[in-house]
Amino acid sequence: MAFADDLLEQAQHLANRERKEPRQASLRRAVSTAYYALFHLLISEATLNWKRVEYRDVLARVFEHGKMKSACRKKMGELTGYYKTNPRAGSELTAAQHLHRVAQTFVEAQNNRHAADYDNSRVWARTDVLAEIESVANAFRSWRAIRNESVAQAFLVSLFGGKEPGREQ
Amino acid sequence: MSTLGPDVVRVRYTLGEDWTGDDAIFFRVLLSDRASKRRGLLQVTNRVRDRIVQTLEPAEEWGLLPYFEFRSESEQAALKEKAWA
Repeated sequence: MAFADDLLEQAQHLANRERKEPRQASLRRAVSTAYYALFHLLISEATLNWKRVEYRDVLARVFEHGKMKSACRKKMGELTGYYKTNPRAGSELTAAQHLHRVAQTFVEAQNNRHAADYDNSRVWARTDVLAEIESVANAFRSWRAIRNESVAQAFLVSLFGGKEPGREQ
Repeated sequence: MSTLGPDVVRVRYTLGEDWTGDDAIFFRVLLSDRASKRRGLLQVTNRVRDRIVQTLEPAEEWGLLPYFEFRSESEQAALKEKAWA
């Protein structure tokens, strides 16, 4: 099983660690781990395109949380604009919806991760944590449905923080 | 609220900034205990999230990134957080 899948499974384990009255520590680590599952899924997918296997881990270190969030936010805006053109049902629209779900989940999970790791004033309920984990699992499925599409591969490149291929201004 | 269906008991929100300093709106969605069961939770939260975002368009209308928190009625009864009341 890939590292990202292991992290997602670990998040589920942490969220359900205590049968009743979950500890905040367990819930917080579950939230953080769920985010990192998606973070590592996207990074591993991006670095898979690097031909020299021995440099993939080095390349993975180039990704930054903030830049990845900005790319996701930009993509969400673009896709929202696309929906307003009333596109016909079909593979293009389906891919757009999957990608939107991935980007939206990433942005939300990242902010939750920051709160879980640093904001002691926020009290977590198990429902909230399970909702996030389910969202991340759903984003995994969405990603895997579109991972070979050009729009998905262009999105991966945008996560570096530069311009998306084919979108020169 | 009525368009969100019987799964949603109430919604509260706060304006603020997310961790990167972007303007944001944080929705706190209180779900019925039935809707908070793990089976179907994703469907419920996606529906609520999509309905609110599509209706209010916070990013397009006000430049606010939407974020969502969910909890059940029984969890709130135990936690008794004023922000969720």
